[in-house]
Amino acid sequence: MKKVTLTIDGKKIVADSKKTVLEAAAENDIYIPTMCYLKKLNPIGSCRVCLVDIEGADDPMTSCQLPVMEGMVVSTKSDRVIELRQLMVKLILVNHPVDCTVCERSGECRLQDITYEFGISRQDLKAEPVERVKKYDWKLIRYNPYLCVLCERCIMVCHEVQGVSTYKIKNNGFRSVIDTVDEKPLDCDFCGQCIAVCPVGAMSSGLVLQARSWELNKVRSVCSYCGVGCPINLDVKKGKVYRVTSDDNIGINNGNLCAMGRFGYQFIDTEDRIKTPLIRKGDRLVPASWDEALKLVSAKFKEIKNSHGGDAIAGIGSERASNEDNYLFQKFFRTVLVSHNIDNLLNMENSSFGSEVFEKFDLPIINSTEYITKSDIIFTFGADACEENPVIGNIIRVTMRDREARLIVGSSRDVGFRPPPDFRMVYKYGTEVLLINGIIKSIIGSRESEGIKEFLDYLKGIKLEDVSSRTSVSKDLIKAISLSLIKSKSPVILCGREIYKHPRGVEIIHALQNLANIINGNIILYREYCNSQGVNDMGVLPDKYPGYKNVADLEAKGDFEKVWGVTLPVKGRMTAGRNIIDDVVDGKIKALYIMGEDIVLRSHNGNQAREALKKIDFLIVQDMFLSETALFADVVFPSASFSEREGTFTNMEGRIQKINKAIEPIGESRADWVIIKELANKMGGSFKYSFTEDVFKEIAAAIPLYGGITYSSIKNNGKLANYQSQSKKKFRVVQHSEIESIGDSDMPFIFLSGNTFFHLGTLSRKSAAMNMLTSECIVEINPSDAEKLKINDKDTVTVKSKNGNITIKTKVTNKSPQGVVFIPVNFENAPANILTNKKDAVIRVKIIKNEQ
Amino acid sequence: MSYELNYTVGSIPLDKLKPKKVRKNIELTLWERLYIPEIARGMIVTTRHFIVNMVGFIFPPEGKKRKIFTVYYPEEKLTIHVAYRGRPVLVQREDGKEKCIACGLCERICPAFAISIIGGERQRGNDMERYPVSYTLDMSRCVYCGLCEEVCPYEAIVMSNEYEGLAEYDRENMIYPKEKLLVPVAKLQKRIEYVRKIYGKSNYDLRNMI
Amino acid sequence: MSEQRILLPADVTMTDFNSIEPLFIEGYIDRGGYKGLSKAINELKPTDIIEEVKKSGLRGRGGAGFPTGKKWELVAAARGDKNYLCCNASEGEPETFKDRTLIRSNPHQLIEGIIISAYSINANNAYIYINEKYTEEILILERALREAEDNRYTGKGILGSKFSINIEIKRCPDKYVAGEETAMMEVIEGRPAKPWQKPPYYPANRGLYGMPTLVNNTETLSNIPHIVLKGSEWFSKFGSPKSPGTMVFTLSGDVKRPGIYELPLGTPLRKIVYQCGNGLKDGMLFKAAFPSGPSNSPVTESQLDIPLDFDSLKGIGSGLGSAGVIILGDSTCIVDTVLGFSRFFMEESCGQCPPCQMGTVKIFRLIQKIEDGNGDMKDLTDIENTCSSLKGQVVYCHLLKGAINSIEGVVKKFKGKFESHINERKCIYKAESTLIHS
Repeated sequence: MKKVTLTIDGKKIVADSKKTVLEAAAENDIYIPTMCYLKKLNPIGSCRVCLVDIEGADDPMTSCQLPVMEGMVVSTKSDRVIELRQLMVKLILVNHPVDCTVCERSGECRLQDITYEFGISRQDLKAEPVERVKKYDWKLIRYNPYLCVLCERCIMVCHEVQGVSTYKIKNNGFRSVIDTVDEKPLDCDFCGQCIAVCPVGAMSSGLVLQARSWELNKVRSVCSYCGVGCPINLDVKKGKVYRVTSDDNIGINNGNLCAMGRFGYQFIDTEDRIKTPLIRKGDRLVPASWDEALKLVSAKFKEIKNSHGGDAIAGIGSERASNEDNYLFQKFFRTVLVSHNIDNLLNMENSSFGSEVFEKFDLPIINSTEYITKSDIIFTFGADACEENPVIGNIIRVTMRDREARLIVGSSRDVGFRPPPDFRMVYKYGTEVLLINGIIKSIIGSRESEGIKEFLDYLKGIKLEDVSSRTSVSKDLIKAISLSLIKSKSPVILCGREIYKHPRGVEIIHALQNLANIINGNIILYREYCNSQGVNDMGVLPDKYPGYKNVADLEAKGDFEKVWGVTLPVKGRMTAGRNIIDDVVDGKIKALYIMGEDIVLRSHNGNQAREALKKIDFLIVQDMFLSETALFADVVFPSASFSEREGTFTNMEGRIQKINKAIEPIGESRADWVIIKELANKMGGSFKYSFTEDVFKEIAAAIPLYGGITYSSIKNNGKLANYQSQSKKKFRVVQHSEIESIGDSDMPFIFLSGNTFFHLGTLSRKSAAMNMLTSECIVEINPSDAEKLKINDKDTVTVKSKNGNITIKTKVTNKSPQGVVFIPVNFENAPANILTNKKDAVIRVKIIKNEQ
Repeated sequence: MSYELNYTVGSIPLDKLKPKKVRKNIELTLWERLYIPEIARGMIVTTRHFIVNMVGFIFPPEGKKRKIFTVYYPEEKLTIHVAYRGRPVLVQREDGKEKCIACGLCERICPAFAISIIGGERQRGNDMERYPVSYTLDMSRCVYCGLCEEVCPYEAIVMSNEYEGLAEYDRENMIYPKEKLLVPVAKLQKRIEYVRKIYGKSNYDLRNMI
Repeated sequence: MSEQRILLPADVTMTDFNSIEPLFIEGYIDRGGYKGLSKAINELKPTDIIEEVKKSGLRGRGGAGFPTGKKWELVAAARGDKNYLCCNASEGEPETFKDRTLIRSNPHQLIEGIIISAYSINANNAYIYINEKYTEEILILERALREAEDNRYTGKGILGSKFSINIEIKRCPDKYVAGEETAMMEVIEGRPAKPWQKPPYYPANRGLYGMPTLVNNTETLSNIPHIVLKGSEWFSKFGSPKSPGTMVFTLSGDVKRPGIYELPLGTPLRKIVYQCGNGLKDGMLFKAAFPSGPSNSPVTESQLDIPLDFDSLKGIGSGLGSAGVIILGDSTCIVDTVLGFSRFFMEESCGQCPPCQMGTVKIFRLIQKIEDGNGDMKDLTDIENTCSSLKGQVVYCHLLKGAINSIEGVVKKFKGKFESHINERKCIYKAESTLIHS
């Protein structure tokens, strides 16, 4: 990059030629006041607070928009500039009512700061008031035009970072106000980015800030929703979380949050929280003391262990619990109950992405998101980058803006992106492998490439016409995509939920690996929950010790026996190929300990899960809420939410991040690991941990992946775990195979399920703000299909599969291609998982319109 | 552009708002340093009061003039001067709602950490208005300093002239919720006016400005 | 005067404006159209064309009067991957109709000019940036562009050469700021019309999509075919030595025959008022003229003989701008006129720069007060103070500067009128006119 030399306030500075004067000054610790400037946005230049004098120029200029030039002489503190800046702030203040006493932003308001900084104590300008309309009907966002200084930060952040572009400036001149583009009540992503960037209180949260900003104590934590793991601040006062904010320049999110992250914190202290342990007495769950509950459980466990052996007790770990919880959970089972009967839902559904993640994939699919920011082409496959993990969407969008990166979106649903992607392909569900092989074929073409001969031979057998007709992606599109992939210097491939929930997920990843090898790219795999990665790392798996050491491996067994000081069972899980719920139904398991999972709603086979829970002799559920699963329980342990305890989460890129205690646990709830510790000690184990740090120390010692990381060294940006990156290129022949489809001949629709935009799992359903945005389950259906069935938007229909049926409302949308319906899994009143029963099959459904 | 002075500080002229100088480290005169005459002077004052009060006790005068200092509480009560700082109360508007806007300044200034507020919003006319959802005053911590009253920009909290019934057997009862603190504005008019005067506050009653 | 014209076939009065017959391709070719283009492509090198234009002394007709050849040279010298050309036909200035008239009467003249200019600066993409309210003009242009493409004047490899050009029409919002060249580039790139800070980079070196961009006015580009075809010497015969060529004046206000007149630069104001405009209507006497719409200081009676060209007007503190001449008679209230101007500035201020946003409202309110008869002398000094304090402000476009120029000029030259408004506590003109009408 070209360098230029300039002088700022008499100091000689060398800066990149693409930098602005403001950036160059900031790099050299020269302070220029700003108001509308925000590092993550392009310069806006509306406030004129950053004026500087340039030698040779008639007028002062705004430094945020001024590129550095060779030999430029800048003065930031001349009298004229200081006077003009003051006048600018006075001009802005003319229309700004001094409502600081009731303003949400008071105390962290940029205009307040600037006013103090410039020493403006007197307003000598006057303006006549203009009538404006305050917006209270924008759901989670409020706009007060009286306070607005028209800095346009909200417009820019909405356009550049969030891609929604929902705001505009309405009217001209002094009548200007911010409004939505269509001038209707706001209906957007509700990410609240506009609230975060507003320098004054014009944009404020619909969840009224009940405290004042200076009273709030910011506790750094990690968002407990999806796998991105955005660092957040819990703003706490006197034992209550009042809001969630995020700092710029920290972590992977750079201050961006999604709707759930910013507004979905209300679950922390809802009335629904379980406050004491509950014990079943007859039909009812009645409150009990901790001692009582723990005694009951330990006695029951001992009884079952003695009579049926440790293998009769099983445990399900949680993708939402911290590493420490999961580590102690598996340790409890392996050392105290002497059983490997533990698992997590991700692994139960598709073990390739759980226990076998390193065995199956040579090229690690756990990669830092930094690859995205350094890429010039981004290929999202089976992922909805806008909705699945909105913050990853933000990273992609900013990369597209800054590096002019191109985006290819491939999905079996018509997901799209904002701004529109360069290429967009909608393929037929189940033909992913064929499509990727087609793209590889088109890239390699006839040229002889290094690699396995076998693989090349296989490719020779593929015909593009054939691929095109079977995947319903046009040949030209495949060719155009391969052309742009060849040209790319640093491509990155993102795979999302559709792949890791796919019956052929492993094959798809292998095929994508082949593709990545050829184009020299990296794969990043989305994770659904905040600790989906960690729960597997911690070895909450039936056939793997922590760190993916095989249970059958005697060396590993010896290592862990040394660390834990006990003799470990040699045998793995008793029945191969069948998961815990299968065994419960078979009657082989007498007691089940579920930590922080709602298997009734999250298991891929809803009917079977319900049956199993009815059948089980003794069920312990450890959760924050009385979930659908907890209703079946014999004992319920109240666990503390992420804000009430310490611990670590491992996010989708393998970054270990620390959560901190912000408030005291609600009621008598306790951190999960504390409950497990107490239970283990009651049953004769010797779990001697006083702090979370003690557990982490053991984790770091026991698992090479986490080796060398100390609890105190995990700072703001977290620490990447040591997932070795294996650079050897390995090609595998991956053949397309048809997937079995379950359904009668009159069931025409392929059924896909996932999370809705404003919910993740069932946790967000406990947050009033999120329910306000979406509270009803809907089935998404293509307009042409809807027309055939004579269904309109918002009709009530029954969706029927071979396993069951649910009654929900419809949403007619182009997002679902023809022959595909989509139902979210988040709603307890319409559990989509009762439609499915088998993991490696496509479920077909039919839709029947309900008569009114 | 027109320059206009925005300041009109109530009825008190600006120059008189300057703080008075306080004399510290007073030098004693020789006469005072001898102590004996000063002790005698003190004894005379004490004795005079003792005798006057004793006579007053034996022959209680009618329509008592303030020569006698003893007050026969609780039968007899003092008339409280407007400057007296009794328990802090919240001002209740004519429409029965609290005047407080939950700005949190009193919570911030309170040296004893006696106040805690949770703010909220409610409808008022066509607009929303901020109000305290809960306003608790821990009377077991309150030191009656009056800083909350001084800092309040909306004249929403004032020191009343109440000093009775504040003692409790249970500490829990000393935490006053909002309902217990509300006093109609009509009863507090005098104090509010007094507060305006001493703190020169009338210029920043924001309701008047908007 | 017919030999004095270059661009327009005939003068157009306002009443005839809607009946202008557009000249389409057959007619244009019949009259020697596209000969300049073929000469440029077949006989001249791009540098020759630039040299020729430079020699002709043609100056930008958009308002600033920047020498066109020099601008071209800058763009041609600033080598980017791709050069762009923008024809600015947004015409946000009130009482200016010249670009509309030119497009209406002879769209191919403009297109030919664009192609030649693009050829000389090696731009393969050109945009015609036109106000979205000019629906008829857009239709005419669209048809003309189609014709040009059918006849292989645009598109790939025009006239058998290797040069290809693609001309696109871009509609702009009907706002004053949208005519600012930096705002124009924002609009073409798909963003709202907001001007940017201009120095240090002018469009000539960093414009559209960060590439060197030539921005010229419709009228400037319309002159090009004639210069190329007939030579710079022929062109510099018109007008004054420093400002050669003709200018299309839009005459409006209190004249008997308002209209669009093409005259050589340097024509005295008197000639326009009394010869073209046929004198003032209703027997009024000349009071003032705004030679470039509301954005410049007025010309009074004593300056009636001033030649209308860039430098002479600049010399007396005014400017030619885009030659929308507004004439005021003595029974028109100047305060009322200025009030209209200030309302225009207030409405058109985009609100990006605080000084402009606040200043224009303030000036409008003060003048309104005086016009309504509620003003006092303090308000008059307030206007002056406001103008002078806003002068040094940092704003991104010319709106505020134009407003200050014109209002300050009027207040200076017609202070008496303002004072009489204040003293009489009413607008005397308004009172009279209501009397007459009732």
